[in-house]
Amino acid sequence: MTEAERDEELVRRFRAGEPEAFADLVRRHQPRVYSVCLRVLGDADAAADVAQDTFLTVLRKLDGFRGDAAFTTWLHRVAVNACYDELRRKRRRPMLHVVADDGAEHEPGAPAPDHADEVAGTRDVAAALASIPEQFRMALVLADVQDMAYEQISEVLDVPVGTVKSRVHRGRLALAAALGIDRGREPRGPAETSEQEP
Amino acid sequence: MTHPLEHLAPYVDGAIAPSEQAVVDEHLRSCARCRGEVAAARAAREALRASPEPAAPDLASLFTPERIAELTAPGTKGRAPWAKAAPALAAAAVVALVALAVPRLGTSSDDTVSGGIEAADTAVAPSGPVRLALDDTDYDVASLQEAATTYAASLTGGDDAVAASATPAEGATAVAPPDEQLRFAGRARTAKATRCLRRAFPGFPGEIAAARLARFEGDPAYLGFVLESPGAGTPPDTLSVWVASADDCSILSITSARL
Repeated sequence: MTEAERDEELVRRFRAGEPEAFADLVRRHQPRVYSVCLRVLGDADAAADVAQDTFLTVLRKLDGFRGDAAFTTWLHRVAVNACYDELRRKRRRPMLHVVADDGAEHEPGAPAPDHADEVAGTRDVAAALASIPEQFRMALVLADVQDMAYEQISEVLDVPVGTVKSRVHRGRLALAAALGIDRGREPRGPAETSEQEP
Repeated sequence: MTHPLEHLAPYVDGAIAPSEQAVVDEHLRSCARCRGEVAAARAAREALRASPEPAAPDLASLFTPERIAELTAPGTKGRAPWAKAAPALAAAAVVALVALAVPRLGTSSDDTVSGGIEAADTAVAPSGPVRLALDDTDYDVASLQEAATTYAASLTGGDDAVAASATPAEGATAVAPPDEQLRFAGRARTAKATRCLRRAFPGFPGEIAAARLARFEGDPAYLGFVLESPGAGTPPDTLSVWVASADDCSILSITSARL
């Protein structure tokens, strides 16, 4: 049984009245969903909340899932939308000043350290990823973290495949720049760096 | 010169069609800029792939059959076929909902909150430190007072509390919809909330027993449910609800109810 067939089987069992099948679906996919949320949002707490929201949405909408797309594609689409919602909320939310125990006022610090930060250098990658434009970041996470094919990313993001390829390439260059990787040449001009629509 | 931008990502992946690869190879021989981009993109790709996968929280444990029945029961969005056929599950969901409305009493220390996602679906009051509940309710003065009264009654075990908690969808009650009560913020946001409340209400007596992130008259607000004791080791006799702006930690409101 393939992974997709396993998902279909669990969806079928859930619809047939086995609630445990939904927990199995969550168990199977929570690492990937959480990983997407964490890489895109850069905050472990927010990622856990948004991953939870993703599965709540999936639970509510599973009866309407027609199976036109693979379950994983649909799940990622829900997760991506939940991430964009959180990013929008974050933009609207003013930064909170907090008072530490010593009475000094501080700006909120960097995102809470996540498990990946335990490895030296990972913090740099996470910080660099957080600094690149959201659309590039999302495409990059799906391609290089989730290892999804461009066609599937196209379905998840609902953009043409050519746009996905362009975003991934631009995202990699932006990440390289944020990591201090020298590409050895001057950046392209504005006309050349714009997103390439097919 | 036309740069094959659309092909560079799959080229870096090594997942390009042979005919397209020949075109890109030919271009790269004469374009130093694209060669630089390919090298940089390849390095970035490797750096990202080399970063370890984080350990995911256990979300599956939140989706117990009882919780699923609750979330898909009539009156909520969506419905599962077993929800209407299993009154026992529905009863269990009510018990769980009451438990959610009775956060545990404990320390208000910001630095001792536990990690991970709190299992909010227990049929007993969760134990452990304060956890910030995410509540979509937009409170006003009247509903805030109702929240205080309901919460106080729930602590003293009054029947009214049970009734109010079990019927969250009826009118503008102070009890958040059960869907929203499922969710709790993590450590960082909980710590921010308690600090903000303490900053808004400096020197106010009492222990923060529970906290919510909600709205008050349209503005994002932290609600702190605070137990106040007359002192000298006597038990708390008053529940106050502090309301502080989540934007700037200013006081928005305060109300109280007798325990």
